Order: sequence, then structure tokens, then C-alpha cells
Amino acid sequence: MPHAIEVIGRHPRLLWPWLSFWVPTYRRGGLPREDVALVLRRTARHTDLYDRPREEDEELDDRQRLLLAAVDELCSDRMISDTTWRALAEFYTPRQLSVLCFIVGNRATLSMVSNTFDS
Amino acid sequence: MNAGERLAASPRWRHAVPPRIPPGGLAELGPRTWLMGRAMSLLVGTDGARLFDLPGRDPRLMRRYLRFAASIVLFGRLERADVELVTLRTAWNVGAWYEFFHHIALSRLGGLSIDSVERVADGPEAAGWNPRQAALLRAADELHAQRMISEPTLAELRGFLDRSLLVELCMLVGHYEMLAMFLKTAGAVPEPGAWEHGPLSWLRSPDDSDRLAPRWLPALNKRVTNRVQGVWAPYLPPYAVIVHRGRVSGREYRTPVLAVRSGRLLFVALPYGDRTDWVRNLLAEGRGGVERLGRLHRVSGIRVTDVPTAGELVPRRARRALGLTKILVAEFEES
Repeated sequence: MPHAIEVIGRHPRLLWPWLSFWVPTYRRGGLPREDVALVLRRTARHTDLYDRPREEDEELDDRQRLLLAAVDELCSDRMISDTTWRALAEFYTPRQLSVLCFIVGNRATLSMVSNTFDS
Repeated sequence: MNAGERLAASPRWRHAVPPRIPPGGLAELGPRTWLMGRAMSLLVGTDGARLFDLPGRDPRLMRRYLRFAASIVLFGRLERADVELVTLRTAWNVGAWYEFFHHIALSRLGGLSIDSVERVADGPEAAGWNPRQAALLRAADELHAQRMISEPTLAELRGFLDRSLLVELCMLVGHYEMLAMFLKTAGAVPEPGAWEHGPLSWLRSPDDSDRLAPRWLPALNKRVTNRVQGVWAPYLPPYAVIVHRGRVSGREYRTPVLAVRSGRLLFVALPYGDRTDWVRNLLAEGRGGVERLGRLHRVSGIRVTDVPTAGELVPRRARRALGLTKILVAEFEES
């Protein structure tokens, strides 16, 4: 991820609008911080081409496993399925789940930049 | 069935059914987003605009999102035709009908004809794209499937995009994929009646002709206007007179048009669309004549296309005007 920021950072007209969207969305977007970190790690596993040291699989509870299922679906089908949405609705508000879509989508965008320009 | 209906029937589109997030009203959206949504509804001729009243339920997220989206989509440095082409292909790849539907109309602002829009579904290998368009489509496909632009495609793109524009291209695709994740998950579908009324309803006509003029005007032109214009059209560019043979009658007709010449090519604007008699006559015959600057030339190799697809061939000074319609391209024969 830092590499993508470096690439985008060379083009200030792209950097500032993007940073002002991205930073507040994952820091104050309404999802708990641990969840955001979990989601970002999982998205990167789908979207980053370049190998990174693979983390140990963490101990997860049901809620977190559901969250990761949603990330997997967003990365493959670009939407959360009915079953996952219904199950997640017990733990999260629709507004938080909307933010989830934007966080995954934005992280995938970063991967597109870093994969293309990393060499 | 017109192009829009054929595209809508594609099995590709996916979204949550029924919608999971209801559209917000003034209370949920806050005045700013609500007003923007209203403005958009007026332009599109609908009651409400899902792009604003779904994500707008989180007003702070919406404000930040709009600033980011505008910097890429509206105020980016990529050409409008390129942005629209990549947007359409990305919407097709992710299966987001809401995005694709609205860009069927919006892509007219980049000069794409409805035929090009429909060809987006066939991908970069379809016949008819110029090399630039094919490379852009391939980049969109690769960013969708592998989340990177491959080295060969990148090398091709470097021919017409600098590095800053290439970064922008990645972010453009990423942005529409992100938006699709939200819209599909929320269950957004096109607002009923969108683009059928309102000030922008001229962007696409239901008969797929991309005409600007109302349907009754050609009949009036045939009887009145063409006779008047026919006086100066053969001598005074950008007017010219097309000489064509009737498909049925076999008689010779003369139709004044607006056309520019560039080298051996003639570009004719089609504000009446590509279903008029003279266009159909020329296409059926494959050849015809043009009277321009007082001289009669024979033309052949006749085809209907649009400015982005004809690309570098179209003289720069005429691109904006010709981009409003489909164009007819003809080659002058050696005389």
C-alpha cells in the first residue's frame, strides 16, 4: 500500500481529493478500527499481486468471519450476497455496511495502482 | 427493440433484489446532498437519483466521496471519450446495470455513438475499435480481472497517455468498481423514465439514430430547406451537396449537408441521424458523389461511425462539432 501512495503522491491533483476521501473513511467511517484493519488485510490478500509475508490466521469469532466472507464476496462478485447481508445485519447497521463497500473498493483501487506500477 | 433494451436484457447484470437500502429523504440526506439529488433528478427527468439518495444517507461520507469522484470523473485530464469508454466497459465487467444505464446517455457527451456503446459489450477484440480504444478496453479488462495492467498493454497505452494519465486510468476503473460494489449491494436500479424527459433527453433517441433534430424536420427539409440551401451549398464550405441514387426509384437525388474534407476523406455531420434516405441510399450503393467548392467528386468506401472511433483522422478543428452526432465518412476517388 505505501507504494501506491508513493505513485499517486507524484500527482498532487490526484492525491489530495483521494486522501481526503480515503483517510477519514477508514478512520472515522463508523466501522470499529480493528474491523477496518481486518478488512484491509483480507482485501489485500485478494488484490495485491506481490507477495507479502503471510500473516498467521487469526482467531476469529463469528462476527469477524462473516465480515471476511463479505470482503471475499465484494472482491469476487463485487457485491455482498443475500445470506451474508442478512447475517451481518445482526451486528452492523446498513450505514456501516455501506462504508465497508467503499473501504474494500478503495483498497482494491490502491492495488490496481501498485500492481501496475510496481516493478 | 433498441440498443438500450438489448443491453438491459443481458444476463450479466447483478444487484440485490429487493433493494436493501431505501432512498433517503431530506431528513436523512441533509440539505446539500438533497439539493444535488434534486438537481440531478431534474436533468435526468426522474423522481430522485439513487447516486445521491443512497450513499447520501451518510452525509459526511457522501461529501468526501463526491469530491474524490469529481476529481477523477469530471475534472480529470483524460479525454471525455476515453473516460466514458472505460467507464462503460468497467460497468459491464462488474455487472452494474445502474452504472451502465446512465452512461449509455452520458457517453454521448464524449461523442460515442450508440453503436459504439453497444459494441462495448463485445470487448476489445470486437471489429471496429481503433488501436487506442482497443488498448483502453483491454486495460479495463485487465484491471478488472487481475487488478493490474499487463506490460504489453501498458506499453501500447504509453503511446498516447503519460504516466500521470495512466495512474488516473487505474483510479478511474478502481473508482467505478468501488461504486459498483456499493450500488449492487444496496440494490440500486435505474430510476423509471430516466433520460426520457427533461433537458437532456436528446442525448439518446429511442430509434438509435443519435439524431439531434426532431423527427418531423427531414420531411420539411426535403420540401423547403434543401431547395434553398441547394443554391449555395455546392460552392460554400462547410456546405456540400451529396449526390445519391434512390434505393427504390433509381433516380438521382441531391441533398445539401455540412461536411469537412481532410486529405482524401470527407466527414459529414448527421444531425438527422443515420436513418435518413440519403444515408441509406449511399450505404446501399456503396458509392455516390459530392459537390463541393463548385466541383463534383466521386466518393466510395462509405461508412457511419463516430468521432472517437475515427480518432486522429478527423481534423482537430471539427471534432467538437462533429462529436455531437454520428458521422459519415467517405473516401474521394482519384479523378
